[in-house]
Amino acid sequence: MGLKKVYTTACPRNCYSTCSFKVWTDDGKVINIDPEPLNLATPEGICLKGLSYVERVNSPKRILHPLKKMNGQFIQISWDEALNEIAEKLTYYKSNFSPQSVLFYYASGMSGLLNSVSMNFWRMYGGATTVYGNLCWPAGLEATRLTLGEAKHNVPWDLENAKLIVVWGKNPAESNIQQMIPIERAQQKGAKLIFIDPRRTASSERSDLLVQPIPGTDGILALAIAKILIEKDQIDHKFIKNYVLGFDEFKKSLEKTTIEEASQVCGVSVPFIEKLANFIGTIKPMTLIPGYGMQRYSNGGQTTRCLLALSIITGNIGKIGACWHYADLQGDIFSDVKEPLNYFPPKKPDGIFRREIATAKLGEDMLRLTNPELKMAWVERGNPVTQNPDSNKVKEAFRKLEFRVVVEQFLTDTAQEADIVLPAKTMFEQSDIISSYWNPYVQLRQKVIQPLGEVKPETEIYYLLAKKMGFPDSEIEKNIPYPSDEAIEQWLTEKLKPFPEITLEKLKQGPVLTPVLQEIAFSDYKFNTPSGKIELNCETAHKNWGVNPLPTYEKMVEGKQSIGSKYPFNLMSPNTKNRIHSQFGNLESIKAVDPEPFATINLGDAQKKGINDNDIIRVFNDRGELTIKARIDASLRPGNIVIINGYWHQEGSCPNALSKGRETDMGHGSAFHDNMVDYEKVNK
Amino acid sequence: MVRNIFIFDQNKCVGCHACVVACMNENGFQSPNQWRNILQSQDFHFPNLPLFYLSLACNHCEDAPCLKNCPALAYSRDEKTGAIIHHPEKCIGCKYCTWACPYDAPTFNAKIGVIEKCTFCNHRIEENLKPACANQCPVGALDFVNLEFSREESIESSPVPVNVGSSIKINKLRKENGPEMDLNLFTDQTEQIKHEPKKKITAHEEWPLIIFTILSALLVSIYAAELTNSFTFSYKITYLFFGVLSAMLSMLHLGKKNRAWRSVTNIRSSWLSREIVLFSLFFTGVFCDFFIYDIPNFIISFIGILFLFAIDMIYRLAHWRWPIRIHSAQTLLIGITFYALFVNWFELFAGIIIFKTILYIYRKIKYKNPQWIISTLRITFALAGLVLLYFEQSIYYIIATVLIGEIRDRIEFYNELTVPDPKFELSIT
Repeated sequence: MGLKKVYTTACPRNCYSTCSFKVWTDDGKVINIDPEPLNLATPEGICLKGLSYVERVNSPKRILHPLKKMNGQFIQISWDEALNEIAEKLTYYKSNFSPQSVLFYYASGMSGLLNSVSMNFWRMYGGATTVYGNLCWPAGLEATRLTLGEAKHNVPWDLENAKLIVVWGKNPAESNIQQMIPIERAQQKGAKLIFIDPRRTASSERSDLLVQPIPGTDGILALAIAKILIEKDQIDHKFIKNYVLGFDEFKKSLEKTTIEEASQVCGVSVPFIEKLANFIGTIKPMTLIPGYGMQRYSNGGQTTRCLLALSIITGNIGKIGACWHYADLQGDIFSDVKEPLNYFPPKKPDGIFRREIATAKLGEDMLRLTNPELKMAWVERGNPVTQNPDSNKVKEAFRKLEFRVVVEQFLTDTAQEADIVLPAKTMFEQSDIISSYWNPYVQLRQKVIQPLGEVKPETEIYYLLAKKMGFPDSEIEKNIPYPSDEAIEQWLTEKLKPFPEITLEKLKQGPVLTPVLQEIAFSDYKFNTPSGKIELNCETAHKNWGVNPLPTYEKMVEGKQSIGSKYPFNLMSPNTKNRIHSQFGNLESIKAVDPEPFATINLGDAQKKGINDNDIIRVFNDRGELTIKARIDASLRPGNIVIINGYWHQEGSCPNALSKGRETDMGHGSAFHDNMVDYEKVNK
Repeated sequence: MVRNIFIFDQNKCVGCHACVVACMNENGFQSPNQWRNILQSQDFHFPNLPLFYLSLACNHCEDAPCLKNCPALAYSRDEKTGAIIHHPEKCIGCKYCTWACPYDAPTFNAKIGVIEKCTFCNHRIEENLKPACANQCPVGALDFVNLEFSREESIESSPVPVNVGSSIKINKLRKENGPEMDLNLFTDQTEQIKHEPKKKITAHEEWPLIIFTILSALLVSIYAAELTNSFTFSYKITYLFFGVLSAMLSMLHLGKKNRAWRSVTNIRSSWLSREIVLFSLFFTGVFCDFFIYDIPNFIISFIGILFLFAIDMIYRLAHWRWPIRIHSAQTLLIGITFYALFVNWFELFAGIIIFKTILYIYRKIKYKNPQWIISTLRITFALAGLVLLYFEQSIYYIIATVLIGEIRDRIEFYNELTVPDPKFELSIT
């Protein structure tokens, strides 16, 4: 029996919830997890993925030593060997091809302020090629920022005060499970709950109405509702007059479309459009919760603006129980430039150092680069071979490189492509500060155990590598914290200096509310837009992104509404409760509840193709194909197939084998949901 | 009575499986079966049917059927906490508790040959902590309380219609149907898919028991009919060989064969224990009678009849899906059939055949899948036996004819045998 200890920590995954939880250790080993009720947004407990950390950190599959690929097999090498080889290659590529021949790729695998140290290293190196944009949410974020001035919403627990909750393209039961708590409370108090989603999800099961549009046509559905609300005079004139810019132009623009036409386009019958409009027009306060999947279409930004227009014209902003619940960046107090602005490359990104390519088109852009060509890649906190669009091309681009370093916990698809794999820390092996885009807390992800095996946190890897590279000590000292717990805490304390309300000691006790918190977002009716008003008519949107200044429905490049789409089925690739993107699926405790990849198909479609439940199907388009088990869902809108994102190529079912590298209409997001496929039964 | 109970709110559960992983964190990784499972009301998500979830583990019943029926005394009750505890070191892996439990809580782990089951996190309750699953539910759908909970409330709350005093209180759905949807989108599909959840018991898997029960009925009836009196030494050895064979068959499915002796430790409440004791007594008696000293036939025959009766009582935990709780292929009836045949008692034989045929036809009418062709054949074989006996045909033909019919009926017995199963109870179509 060792010494049992308990710590409060927070989950650093790219997930709405950003749960606080308690972690138990015994003699330097993570042994169990408990809920942390101090976080009012996640008081009851964390999801199954969070609980599976107990396995994840101790997993026998974890990479605990540097590995080198020799004749296609990974063998264990020492840190010294690994760093020597990497330093040698870095020096060689820098002097022969320039620093920009090295790609530094990172994604959202682990959040924390210390991540910025990585870029410090690459600056010292003389720059690198990096990516701009983001795979997740930028189109909607930019649409929100352009319209409201900033992305923020009411605190999560305010949702229980709503009388109408419209969840549009989000499945919180799987992607933000604690949001189901205030939803249930609101329902107990008589609130109406509506879901808009081509799928019928676990979240929508208790709702009053489920409207199932064709994917990517949400914009026109929203505009049709706006038109009805205006015609029936169910709008908030006072709110519009005081705070909204461009209502008249918006109203006028709606004259072009009839409800019947809209119904044709989005595949929602007129009576259901009217039903939906009637809820929105007659019940207040309304919280509208848009998801992120819907904005990963080529028209994603404009779609988001159309939806947001409904919250605006009904005056459902800045009030108790009423908000546009897209993302809340109030807790992000540490960034000089907040998202999504930091995704946009200025003309000379980061001075002379960085050359940037689109994360949405990673494979294509990597292959395209010349002068210098890419020779080497360094990947951390990400799994681009699985998660970036058109992943066959991404894989091809990685294979074309001369040298690849991947920092990873497990042998992911990307790690499999590496020449050297460096063991990555888990969230329990180094302290860091994280914020959330859903709950309003600043939290400490505490170091609770010594890194297992020979694992070193990235900051330490960079520190040692900088030494090997012969960078001057004074430079290293300025840019990279010394590899000790004290130095890391000192570094974090420095970051906290501008916020006297938050100290490291306080954070160790539990989550701390962000010091700038507005519980009811925009309750001061200050909008940080050029006009100081909510911009329905947004010239900046037109100027920066070339889109219509008004919220409009635009046809997707590839989706069903575009002519010449050769493949009849829309491939949806949403998130599952069992994974965060490509993480967690390899764990036994997750496999126990979700043993193998599957595609969800509509019953009628399946019957036409002679496919039964559990049959193997081949899903294909011009970009690639995969085989996967079919599962029947009689409530999925016909014409759609669902393969959750995050399946690995190693599992044979990565949906990005089918997606196209394409940017969204604004924000440099990735439009990989604009993805048409066909499928057929595989005869064994 | 104030009891420790689970509270489950159907309005809150979204089937997230956190409780399942929480259990594994607390009690160790569980494979291939988890101690707690999420059941759902339908597999194919039909637009006009609701989908809801049930998180189910052991409900630590007052009259725990596992504890009562376990032949090896492998279960005990912790009087302090109310937890029903399974002791793997005592378990013989007979799986009878998996039939007995209406909640599917005990599961057989073939890798280690014994049953595994939820412990109520007894070690946590003792420290005033909630079980891990209830402690970790992220939406507060599963909870644990110490509360006044009457038998009536327990019956009312039980997700499976049984009266065993289960410790689970269910807050039922406020709104019983799913969301309003545009059903016109789904006119291109059938309204049902033929699909049956897997039954706990099938003839296919229980074939050793089919042979065991019919063989037992035969051996007892041969003895009761005093045919053994004229047996030569080698016939006696053959007879006993079949006795040993049937004992081995009945042990075939045990996960821990070396602990088979434990199966007689619960005569007090387990019909399985009683059956095994009676089986042993019967064959010990026969052995003595054959080789040591003469025991009056009626004593051993009586034990044999009790033995066949005990076999039938093992299956009393089934809820046959028709009102009469007598099955035409009950072991005792098979025994009587052969007895009548062996003593050439036509009236008794005719009576039992007719009785069984009536039971059989009645059952087929009530059953949703009567398979009339095979059923007619089965009836034909029974009646053919009767006709052959009437016309005094060779006894071997008659035995063969009757036996085929009886085997068929016994196969149906296992295929129709349903025990309370939450998968079926929750399933809506």
